[in-house]
Amino acid sequence: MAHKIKPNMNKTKFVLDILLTAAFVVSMKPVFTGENWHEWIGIGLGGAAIIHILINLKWVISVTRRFFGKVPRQARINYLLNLLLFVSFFLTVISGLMISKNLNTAQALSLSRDASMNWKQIHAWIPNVTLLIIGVHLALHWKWIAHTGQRFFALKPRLHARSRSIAERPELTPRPS
Amino acid sequence: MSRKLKSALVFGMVIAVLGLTGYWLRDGGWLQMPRILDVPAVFGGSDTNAEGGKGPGGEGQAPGGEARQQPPQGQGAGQRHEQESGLNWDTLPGVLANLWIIAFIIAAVVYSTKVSGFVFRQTRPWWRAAR
Repeated sequence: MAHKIKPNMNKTKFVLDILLTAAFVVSMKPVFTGENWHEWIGIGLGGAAIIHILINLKWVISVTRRFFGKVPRQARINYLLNLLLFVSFFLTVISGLMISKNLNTAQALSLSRDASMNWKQIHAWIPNVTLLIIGVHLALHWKWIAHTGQRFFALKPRLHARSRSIAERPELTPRPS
Repeated sequence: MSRKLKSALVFGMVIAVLGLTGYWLRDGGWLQMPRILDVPAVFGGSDTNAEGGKGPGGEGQAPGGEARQQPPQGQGAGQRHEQESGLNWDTLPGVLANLWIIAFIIAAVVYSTKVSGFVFRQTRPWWRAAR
């Protein structure tokens, strides 16, 4: 019987999550990247975050449907924290878009000076909140991160039955009659 | 190596690495706590928190005259960083400081969860009997 080979979503998720975290940390320091790169990294982060949510959409839909019903407490806490992270992260991206020099958004939308100043204040403050929430988000998923990281860097072999050769599974070797 | 010994070693390494790197970053003036209490006026914060032109992560004027080793170009409040190309490697410790904050939060949450789980398991006979 032919076995379907499923793409390893865990590895994809792991790589995406590392890139997301690294890009966010780097983009928090515009003096490091320069304002030009800061804006483009920020826009890329928004897209990457959408992909991250889409990859985990099954979980989001599943918990949303049962949020006020039978859901483990841990999942509920996770869900609320993720919601908070979603709001703060996209507020960071949107406020950045509103004050973007590359896109010249303030002029394009005819924003008043006060409105631009408000967006600047939001963009100066909200990444600090997002940073803390990201830390807690990573902490709550630490087991998965550590486990997948060990397998990704081949520190721990896969325990899947198909990956072990028959020689390693004495129960499958025929006994001499 | 027993599991407990391995856990203790890992814990020790985490404390040592976070402690040493945190000390080095703090000593260089790079490590600053995120200013989450500086809520903008538009969200109901104080008007004195208004620091227009300040980039994310507290790039602008540092209150209280915090010592910070800024690159010679002078990344002060209201100044736009007009870098044409390339990364400003002098400010890499600032990026590492944010990474340190994330690592610290992860360690604090993970180990406090483990400790609270341990305390919960040890005291379970007592509070079960008290019910």
